[in-house]
Amino acid sequence: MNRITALVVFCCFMFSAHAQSLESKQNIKANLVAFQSVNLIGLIEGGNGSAFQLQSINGVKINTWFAGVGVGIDYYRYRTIPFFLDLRKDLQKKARTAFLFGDIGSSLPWVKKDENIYWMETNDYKNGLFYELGFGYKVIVHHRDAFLISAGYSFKQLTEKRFGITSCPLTGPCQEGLIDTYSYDLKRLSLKLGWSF
Amino acid sequence: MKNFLITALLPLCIIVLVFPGCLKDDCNRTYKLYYPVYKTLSEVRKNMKSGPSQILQKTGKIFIDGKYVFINEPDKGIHIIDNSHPSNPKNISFIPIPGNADLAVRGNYLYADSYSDLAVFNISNPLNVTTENFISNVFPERNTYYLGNSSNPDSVNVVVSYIEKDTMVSCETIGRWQNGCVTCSFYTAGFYTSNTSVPSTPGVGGSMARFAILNDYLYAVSTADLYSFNLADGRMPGQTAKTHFDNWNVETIYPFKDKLFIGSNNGMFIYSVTDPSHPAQLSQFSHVRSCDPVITDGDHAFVTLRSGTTCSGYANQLDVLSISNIIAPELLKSYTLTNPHGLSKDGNTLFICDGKDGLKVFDAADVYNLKLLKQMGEMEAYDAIAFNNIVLVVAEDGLYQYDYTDIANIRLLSKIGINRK
Repeated sequence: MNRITALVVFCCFMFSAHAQSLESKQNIKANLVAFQSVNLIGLIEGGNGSAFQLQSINGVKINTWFAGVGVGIDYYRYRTIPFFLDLRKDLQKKARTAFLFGDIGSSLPWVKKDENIYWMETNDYKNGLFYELGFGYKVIVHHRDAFLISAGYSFKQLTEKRFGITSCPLTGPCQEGLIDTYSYDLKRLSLKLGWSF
Repeated sequence: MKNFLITALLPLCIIVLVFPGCLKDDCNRTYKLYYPVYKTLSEVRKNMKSGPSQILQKTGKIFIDGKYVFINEPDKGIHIIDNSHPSNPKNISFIPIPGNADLAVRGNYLYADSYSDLAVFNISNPLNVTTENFISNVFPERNTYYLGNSSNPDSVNVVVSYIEKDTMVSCETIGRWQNGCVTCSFYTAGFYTSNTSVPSTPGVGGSMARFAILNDYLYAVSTADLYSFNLADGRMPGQTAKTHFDNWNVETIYPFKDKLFIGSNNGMFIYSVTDPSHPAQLSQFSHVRSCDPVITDGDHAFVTLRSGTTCSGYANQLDVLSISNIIAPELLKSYTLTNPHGLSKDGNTLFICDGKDGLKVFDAADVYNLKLLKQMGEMEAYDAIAFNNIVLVVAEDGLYQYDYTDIANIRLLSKIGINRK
């Protein structure tokens, strides 16, 4: 995806959200302890280009803290399902506030078939570490409904094992089950737009 | 609005636009390096004698001679099984033969290939098998160590094993990680086959064999040649002919009376051995490209065609041919199967190894109407030898034996399993 185009589309969403927030009566009288769902859509940028991501985090908000469990889909390089714990903290108890967040969990492979392997090979992907650290800005538009924008550093790890068929070199005995292991450490920046309620 | 843009959106966008260039994904490839271990050919040959039995690790071709079953462990050697009691076969010894793929037995002699050499073993005492003779580089297409002009076994080096060493490198050092291909390693397809049956004479081999014994001759096929050896002196096979096939994809040979039935990727050849020292082609039956073992009962030829990586093609079927006119085989009927490999026939009973479908037993009294009598689906079957009411089945996980005295009640007698490393 063209990086500039993606960001323009992203910003349009954000302006729209901001307009709604101006029309709404700002209300920060949220319950001190309440269930909250955070749903995010975003871009991931890294050395291997841009990709799309979706996340849904559900948990409990206690005062300015939020803790939840998240799941999503991450198309960067290899399609994966991040499954993680999320912790976030509003820096101010206002309708507009910056916040910090951190995620840690596992990146489960859901790789499309035939990704770059030779016809005589088979492969198998294993899950790896997933974490994300970042900060953002939140605008409460009505009661507990809020728009979010955030940026952060996102890391996902994946291991791939490739199994070749029996290899019989001309100069010696056959070698069975040649296995290559590839470990991928994918380091990205993440920009997300979301809605929490 | 302006305040919001300045405070939130703009900084985040700048970060995402500017900083990804500083990030770099890492990819590391871990693999094994194999360092060859060499011995002289003389040393290798010195070790080619029977030793204690070893557990099968992989099944290859088989040959039955009297109460003994010889089963090839591809590239490693030959296991000798005492099959005096098919319900309780005993693995009694192992002959290490590097590069072994095929075998045949006649009298007290076992003939086996070792890469491009033909080795002759004295098996009069299966517990103490000794080497009798080596014919060097007789199958040149499998030559691995006769390089240059050297043929002195003391100076020819043979790779006997490998020392493994784990190695890790960055994917960038091996190719196009950024574009997707991260391996760029190259594998060549290994292939091996197994044996089936011959009536009378010395012993019984299989439909997927490349070695066959007919009277006083040993015949062997490579992908492109038919080799003939006179066994008048069993210890000293003398090559009498090397017949080149026009077809380069020959796979199997099956002897019957004074004929050789040869299976290839593209068809079946029938050779006459009226002059046993110089086989002559009688006829050819072409079929679609496919793996192709063949057997015959004298009236009909049964040809299985299967798809697979080493054979190409998409056909998976049994072709029944009339060979009443030996110079013009005629296709009578085709039967669709799953992935047929070796086959064997005893009287009107036809046994077909149908890959993952296991062993299928057919009533073949009417070749136009084969009737499936039974299917043993518990194994992935490669080849079968039906002999004296016992069918030996080479499968991916071992050697099975079934008693088919009562065809309605075929029962498993024994199984010698394999133990993968």
